[in-house]
Amino acid sequence: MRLISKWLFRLRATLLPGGLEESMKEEMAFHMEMEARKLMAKGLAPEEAFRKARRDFGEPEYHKEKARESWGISMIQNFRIDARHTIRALRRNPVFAIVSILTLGLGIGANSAIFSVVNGILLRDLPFPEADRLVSLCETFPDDPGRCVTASTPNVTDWAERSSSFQEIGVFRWWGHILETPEGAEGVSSLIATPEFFQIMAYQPAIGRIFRPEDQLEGNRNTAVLDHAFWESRFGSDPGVVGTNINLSGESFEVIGVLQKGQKPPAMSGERGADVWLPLHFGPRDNDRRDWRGFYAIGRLNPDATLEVARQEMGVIHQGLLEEYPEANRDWGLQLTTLHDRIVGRVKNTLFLFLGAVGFVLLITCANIANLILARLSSRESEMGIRTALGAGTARLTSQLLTEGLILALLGSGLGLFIAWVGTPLFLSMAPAGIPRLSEVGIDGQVLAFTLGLAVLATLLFGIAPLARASRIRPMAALRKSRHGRGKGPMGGINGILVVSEVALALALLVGAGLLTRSFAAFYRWDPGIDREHLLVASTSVATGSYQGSQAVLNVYRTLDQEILALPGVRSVARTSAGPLFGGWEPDQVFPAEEAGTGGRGHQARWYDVSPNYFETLGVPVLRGRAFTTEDNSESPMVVVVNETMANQLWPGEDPLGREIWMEMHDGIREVVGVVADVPPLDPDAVVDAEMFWPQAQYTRPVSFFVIRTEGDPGPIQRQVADRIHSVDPDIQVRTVMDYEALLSQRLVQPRFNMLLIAIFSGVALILAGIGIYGVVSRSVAARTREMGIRIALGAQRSRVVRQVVRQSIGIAGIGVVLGLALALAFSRFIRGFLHGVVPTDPLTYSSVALLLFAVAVLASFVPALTASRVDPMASLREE
Amino acid sequence: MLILKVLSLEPLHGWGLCERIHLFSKDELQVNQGSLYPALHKLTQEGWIKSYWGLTENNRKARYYRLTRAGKKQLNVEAAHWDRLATAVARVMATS
Repeated sequence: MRLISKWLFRLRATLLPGGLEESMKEEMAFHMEMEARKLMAKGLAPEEAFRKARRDFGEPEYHKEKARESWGISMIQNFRIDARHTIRALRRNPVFAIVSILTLGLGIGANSAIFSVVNGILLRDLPFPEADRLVSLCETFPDDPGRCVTASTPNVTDWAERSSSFQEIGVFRWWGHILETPEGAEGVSSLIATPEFFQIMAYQPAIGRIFRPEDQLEGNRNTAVLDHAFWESRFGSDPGVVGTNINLSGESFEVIGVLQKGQKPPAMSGERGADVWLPLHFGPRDNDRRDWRGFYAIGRLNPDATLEVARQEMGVIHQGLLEEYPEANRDWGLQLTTLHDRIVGRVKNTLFLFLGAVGFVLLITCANIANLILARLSSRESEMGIRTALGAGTARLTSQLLTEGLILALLGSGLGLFIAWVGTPLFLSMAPAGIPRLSEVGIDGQVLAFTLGLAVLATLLFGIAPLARASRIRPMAALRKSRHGRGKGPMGGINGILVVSEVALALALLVGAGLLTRSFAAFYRWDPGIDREHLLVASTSVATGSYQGSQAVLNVYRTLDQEILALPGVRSVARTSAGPLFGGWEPDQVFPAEEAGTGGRGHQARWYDVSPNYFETLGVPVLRGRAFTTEDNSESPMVVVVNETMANQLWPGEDPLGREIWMEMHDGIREVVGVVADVPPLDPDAVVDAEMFWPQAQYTRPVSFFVIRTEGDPGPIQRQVADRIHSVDPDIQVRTVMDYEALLSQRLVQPRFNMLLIAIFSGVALILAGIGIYGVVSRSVAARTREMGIRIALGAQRSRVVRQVVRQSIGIAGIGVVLGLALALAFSRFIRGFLHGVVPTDPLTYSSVALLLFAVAVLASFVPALTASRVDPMASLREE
Repeated sequence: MLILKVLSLEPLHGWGLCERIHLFSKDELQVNQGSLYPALHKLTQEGWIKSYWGLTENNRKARYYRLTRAGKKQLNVEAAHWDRLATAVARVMATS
């Protein structure tokens, strides 16, 4: 309280000094008058009395100043004076002002923009009530305990029953459905969840109701809850929709309610909404199939339970389940993380990488501005000297320098906020899909506070160096140096250190950018062994109700094959359920048929259903045996083609042809008739997965990709494919038709984004470092104009002068490069996770970045060097 | 401490305060008249005294100072401290 009143008083004293001054004057006058009267009463003459009174009182101004000091207003007033002084000085030197405010604005703006992203995604609570008590529970692969996958529903039910740490544990998963209406069919994204999940997430209905436990019972009516946005767009916000039925993939569901606006499922795999919410129906198969791990499990902790307690308890429960159900649970692990970590964990490292990079940029910015201030300071040395000689204390000079810095930083951060305000949406629009919580990013109070904090930090950072210099100023020396003679050049001491650290920081950033670029190039060079350039991929769905049964679906597929093949420029057409870059592959556990049921673990393999000419159309060579023919159909023996990796895994060193495999999920036996070449995955560091293919005629689903090999540029054909398909049946959905290069670049969005962002930051860093070197070298040259003049007059060759200056600049760069290489090596382990196909200590990257910096150093010193060589010896000597 | 003590008896203006200190100390203590004011401002700042404009016996406007509750507390603290110091000094002086 007292502190506040003290400050209020000071504020009043500063803002309204008149009142206080006036009353003080009056008070002192009164005192002297009273004293004089007393003296008069003692018999002194009035004049004599007044004089004595004033003498006894002392100098009123002196006492007033003392009183003012006790108000503590001098500090604030000094600030006012310094601020006014700074602004005047900045106006007088607009280049300095603009350059430093611009660089600072960029540095701070980039930091604020990235921080607003980090804040929105990492730091803020999830948008669910009491989100800190939400825990993600997931099972981990037997051979990869660090990797969290989804959970098995029967296991989750047991966890919930046996644990006391959790209020509830619920499960959910996405499921694609086709909404059929009289106007046509449309794919919708639905979410299957248990009533517990609704309770845990505290979802509430806007109208109608949400799920109750009885909705979950098998055999009960199908019920559905609509997403608010979907209800608005698809049903025109009609409240009458509650109680009606909708048709999802051929089944009828009763709409029982609509969720409140903005209630979204947790962003487990990117921002992904759900149009329709359905209750989970436990089928007996699901309950038997404890090893079907297809669900996200989320629990809400009891208020008194901690994550650690829950982990211990669940560890025991999990161990018990391992023993009770060894077949389903053997070797599977259990992992508990907060929902927040589970959702943002994937992008955490990327965001910290960005934050680290912009932090480097800010440091370089500060170093640059410190250099600018130093440059100004050295031209103001005589001013400082005079002030010191006139009695300005070190504290007073310090506060003046800091005030100058603070004002620069505040102006810079104002610009920075503007840049962040513009830059954040830009970042969001550039950002790859799949980053969770992007929609929650924005500039708020925390970002403002962060920016102001940066401004203060920046002030301190770039204030230190000039302070160190200013505090050493000896008034006499400063004055004696006069205008011409200068002490040692600005190459040594603080300036040198600053430029060296700029070079080092820029180099470390550039190494990061270089490594990311090399990694991106490794992706881009991807050679799958197939022709990437003349290929179109179209994802279609014929699930319209018109095609019941495999034969009907196959028939329409064959009609579509013919229609597409009839397009001019199409060489061949094939179908597949998935493919390299297509997405959509599914895994199954496979065993050599003779090992089935012997308790072995089997091998995980991806499976594809393909049309006979799939390998030929894509261009995958058949190494042994045969590809499929139209003779492989539902009547003929069940056959499979495997890739090399799978052949080597299941039958190392043996002939796979004629062998049989048993597939756990499909519960069937197939005979191997062929082996195809491996298609290497996009990630150069990833291993090739075991893959198997079987004829679509033996396994027909109403969704498929069409693979179209074209004669020339696939672009013109791309537009015709959907029309051709719709000419057969307008209800058939064509989701995407894309050429293969577009598919590839879609997959490269994330690495490209990382690379671009870091490249932009390091480009800025490089420019700043170049400016820093230029500034220091040109000042050093200016300071030594006389020396140069004398040397040229004595016959030194101009080229020698140039070389000398350039060599000096390379010297600075050299120290910076060595330090920077060490810094980059130290930081390289942080970037390892982002690199593919290149090691974090890649010598090529390091050496080329070092060369680049030397080149910049030479370039930056060239102009000052030329200036030096053109010094007119007579003019420089006469200057004295 | 002296100012606080004198003001604890009654509110006074600056000059009165000066006179009162002379009087109490039997002219032993001479307060520099001018430097009284910075001291008064300092005490005001600390919140131990408060000032207000009032009228003197002969109807002149003057600035009066009075002790606040915080000031009274402070006076007790300082008085106790002074007592201890004075006793200590007296003891040292007594051992001759």
